[in-house]
Amino acid sequence: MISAIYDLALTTGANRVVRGCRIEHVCGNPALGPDKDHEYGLTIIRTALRALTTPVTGPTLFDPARAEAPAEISDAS
Amino acid sequence: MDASLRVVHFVNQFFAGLGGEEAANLAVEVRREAVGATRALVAALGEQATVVGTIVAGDNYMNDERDKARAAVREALRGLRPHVVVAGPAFEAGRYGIACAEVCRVAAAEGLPAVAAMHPTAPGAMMYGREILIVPTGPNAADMPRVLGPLVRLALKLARGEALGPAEVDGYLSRGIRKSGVRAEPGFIRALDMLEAKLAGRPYASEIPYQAPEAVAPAPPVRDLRTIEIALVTTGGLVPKGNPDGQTSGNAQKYFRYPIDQLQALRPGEWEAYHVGYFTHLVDRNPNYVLPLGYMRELEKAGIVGAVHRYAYTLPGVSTPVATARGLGEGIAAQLREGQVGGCLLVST
Amino acid sequence: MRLELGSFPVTDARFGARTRWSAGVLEIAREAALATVREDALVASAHLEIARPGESVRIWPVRDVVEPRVKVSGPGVIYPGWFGRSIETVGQGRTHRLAGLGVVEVSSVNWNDAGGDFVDQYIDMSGPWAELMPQAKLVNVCLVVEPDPAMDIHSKNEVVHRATLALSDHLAEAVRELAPPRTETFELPPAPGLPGVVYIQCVHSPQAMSHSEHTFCTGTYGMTRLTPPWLLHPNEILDGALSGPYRTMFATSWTVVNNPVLLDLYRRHGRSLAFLGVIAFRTEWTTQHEKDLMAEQAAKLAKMLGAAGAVVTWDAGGNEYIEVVHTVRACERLGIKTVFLTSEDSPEGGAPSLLKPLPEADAIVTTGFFNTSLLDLGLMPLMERVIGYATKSAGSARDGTLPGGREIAAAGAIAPPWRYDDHYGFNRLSSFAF
Repeated sequence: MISAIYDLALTTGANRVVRGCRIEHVCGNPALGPDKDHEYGLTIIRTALRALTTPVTGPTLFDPARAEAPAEISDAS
Repeated sequence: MDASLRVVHFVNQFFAGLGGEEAANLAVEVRREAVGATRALVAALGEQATVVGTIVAGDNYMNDERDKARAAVREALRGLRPHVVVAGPAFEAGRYGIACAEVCRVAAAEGLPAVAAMHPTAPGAMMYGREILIVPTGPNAADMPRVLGPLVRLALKLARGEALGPAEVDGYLSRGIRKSGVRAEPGFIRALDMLEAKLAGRPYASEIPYQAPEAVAPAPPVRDLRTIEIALVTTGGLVPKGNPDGQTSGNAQKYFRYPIDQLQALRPGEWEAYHVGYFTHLVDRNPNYVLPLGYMRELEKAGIVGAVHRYAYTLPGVSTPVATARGLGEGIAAQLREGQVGGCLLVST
Repeated sequence: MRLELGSFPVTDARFGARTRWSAGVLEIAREAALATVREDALVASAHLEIARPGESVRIWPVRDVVEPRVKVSGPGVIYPGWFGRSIETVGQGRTHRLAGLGVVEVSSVNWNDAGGDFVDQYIDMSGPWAELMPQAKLVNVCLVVEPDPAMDIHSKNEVVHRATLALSDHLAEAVRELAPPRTETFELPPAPGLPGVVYIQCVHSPQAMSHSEHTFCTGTYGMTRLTPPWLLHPNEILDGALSGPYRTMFATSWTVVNNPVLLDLYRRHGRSLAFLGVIAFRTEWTTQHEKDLMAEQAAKLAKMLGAAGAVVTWDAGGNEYIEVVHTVRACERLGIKTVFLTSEDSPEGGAPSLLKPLPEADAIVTTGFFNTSLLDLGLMPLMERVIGYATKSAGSARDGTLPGGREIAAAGAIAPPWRYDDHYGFNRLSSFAF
C-alpha cells in the first residue's frame, strides 16, 4: 500500500505501507520538475517492491527517503 | 409477576455443586431441582419466573464432545420449552464461558432467547461477543450477588418478548451493532456534561466505546520479484478519459478493471481521475501518480520485476462503508489470485 | 474583551415600504434591499422570497444561511475579512442581531469545480427534514442570486456571497439604532479555582480539494486557506469571525454564530469551568506530516493557555478525521482531558463507525450517523412551493452528469440530502450500541 497519509493504512490492517508524497500526487512530486519527479516516483516504487520482498510481522512503514531497514510499527502511532 | 414464565439455567459441574476438575467430563444432564448456583437464580427471580430445569455439563465434555453436547442441549431445551435460557455466570472461566456461549447459540437456533453472563475478557466473550447477549461480570464469583440483578432483569425482558434496548440501557456487552436513537439531552449538553465529569474524576460513559481495529496476518514476502507478476490497484478513481463505464465519483459499489498489457505508461489525455475526495487535476496530468505503470514498465524492462499484470484495478475510494470496502477488496483479491499474481501495489489517495 | 449582544426577535417577515423592525415583525423594502445587492454590476439576477416555519416550502439549492448582525459600537465589522471587508479584530462593544431570521443564499454556483464541492443541500420548512434542521425554525429571507456567468469560479463565489452579506447588512441596519428587547453580555472574567477549558473547533478548508488558496468556504476572517491553528476569543466568533458555509446545514454561517457548544461554554464559565478560548483548527491537510504537526501545535496552544480540559468538534468527513482525532490524542498526552463531539460513519457489517478508533479518544459524544440513508427517514414530502430552482439531480449532484443521471422535480417526494451531520450537537439524535 502506497499512501501519503500512511498512518491510517497502518491502523486498518495494511502490513506493508510505503510513504507516498501527497494525496494529490502519491507517487511523485510535480514541483520537482519532470526529471526529479521521475526519480522520486521511481524511488517510491522501488521502495514498494522492496517492501514486497521484506518479511514483516505486523504493520510496517517503509520510507522512500530511507534505504535501510523499515520502521516496525508497534503501536501504530 | 408471572410465574408462568419458564427459565432454563445452564451451569457447569462446579456451579452445580457436583465437583471441580474431576467432574469436568460430566455429560449433559437435566436437573429438575435447583442445585448450586441455580438456587441463587431462583431466589433472584422470585415470583417473576420459574426455573423449570437446569442443564448441567462438565467443562471438558462441552469442549471435547461439541456435537454430542449440542445435540443433548437441543433435546433438553425441546423438552423443557423455556421462554428464556440463562447461561452462567461464568466470570473469567475459559471453557465454562465458551460452553455458556454454545448453549446460547443452540438456544438461538431453536428460536429461543438466551443470555449468558461472564467477564468481558473471558474467551467466551471474545469469541462470541458479537453473536450472543452477554451480561458483563466481575472476574470471579464474588460478583455473583451483584450480577444476578442485571442478569435477571434482562432475562425477564427477553422471556416476555420485549424489544431489546441498547446495551447501555439493558446492561449487556455491545455486539458491535449500532443503531440510531434519540437521547435525553442534545449533543452539546452531553458533551459539556461529559467533560465536566471527566475533569471532576466522576464516571462517564463514552457513547462510542473503543473498538480495536482488525489485525491482518501479513502475507509471506515475495522470494524473487523477477519470477512474479505484479498487479496495480488504485482507489484514486482512475478511469479512461470520458469515464465510459460511468464509475461514480464516490460511494463505490463496484470496482473496475482495465487492460494495460498494451500500454507502456498511462498518458494524460487518455485517463482521468473521477473522484470526489481529492484535487484530481494533477493525476489527470500524470496518471502514474496513482497507477504507476510507467515506472513498473521501466523496472520490467530492467529485469527487476517479472511482469506487470495485464489488468489494472481501480475504484473511487471515498465515502465507502467498511463492509462494502471489504467486499470490493475480496473481489479484487480473488481476481488477482485467479490471475496468479504474485504481488500487488495498491496506491491510495 | 466585552461584547454586548442585543437580540431583536423575528417571528415574521413581509415585504413593505421600508425596511424596519417592530414587535417581532421585519418589514423589508424589497426594491431597496435588492438595490444594495445590485450595486455589484457582476450580479446578473437577484430576487427575494420569504419562507416561514411550517409552510409547505422547499428552498433549493442552499449554499449558506446567514444571521443578520451589525456592529453598533466597537472595532470592526460583522463577518469581517470577506472580500475587502475590514479585518479589524472584532468581539468588543455592542452588536445587534435579528434573532430567528436567516438570510438564505440560493444560487446554482458550486463552491469549486475541481473536486466534489457541489451544492447538495435543501431546506424544508415543514416535514421530517424540517424537524432536524435548526434553520427550518427560522423566518428565511431567501436571496436567489446568479452572477455573471463569464467569470471564474472564485469570482462567482465572491459575487454570490458578497450579495448575501450585502442583504444581511441591509436587514441588520433596521435595528442598529433601536433598543434591543434583550441584551446579553459576553465576557470572560477570571474564574480562579475552576478548570480551564479550550474549545478546539476544527473547520474544513477547501484548499486541498480545489488546489487554490482563494476557494470559497468557511473562513477565518474571510481566509479559507489551510493555515496553522488560530486562537480566537469566543466573542470574535459571535461577531462572525468564523463564517461561510461548508456542505451541510450544520456548517453554515448561521450555525457558527449560534453554536450551542460555544454558548454553553459561556454559560458554564465561572460556574463549573473557565472558558479559555477557541482554537480554530483548519483541516484537510494532505500529508501525514502536516496533519500531525497541526495536531501537536493545537494541543500545545491549549496547554499554553492553561487548559485542563478541551472539547473538540469538526465539520467535515473523510481523511480530515485523522488530524482531528490526533488532536484529541495530542491533548490527552499533554494531560488535557478531552471530549470529542462527532458524527459516525456506517456501522454496517460490525465495522467501527469511526475512521480511526483510538484508545485515547475515550470520551465521545455522537450525533449519530451522518449518512441520511442510515436514518430511516424515507422520502421527504411533496412541497407546494420551491424557492430557487425547479429541478435537481436525482442522485449525487456530481454524478448527475454521468450517463443515466437524471433530473427530478425539486418539489417532489424526494430523498433527503445525503449528509445530515449535526456538527455542534444541536439535536438529540444519536446512536446506541446494541
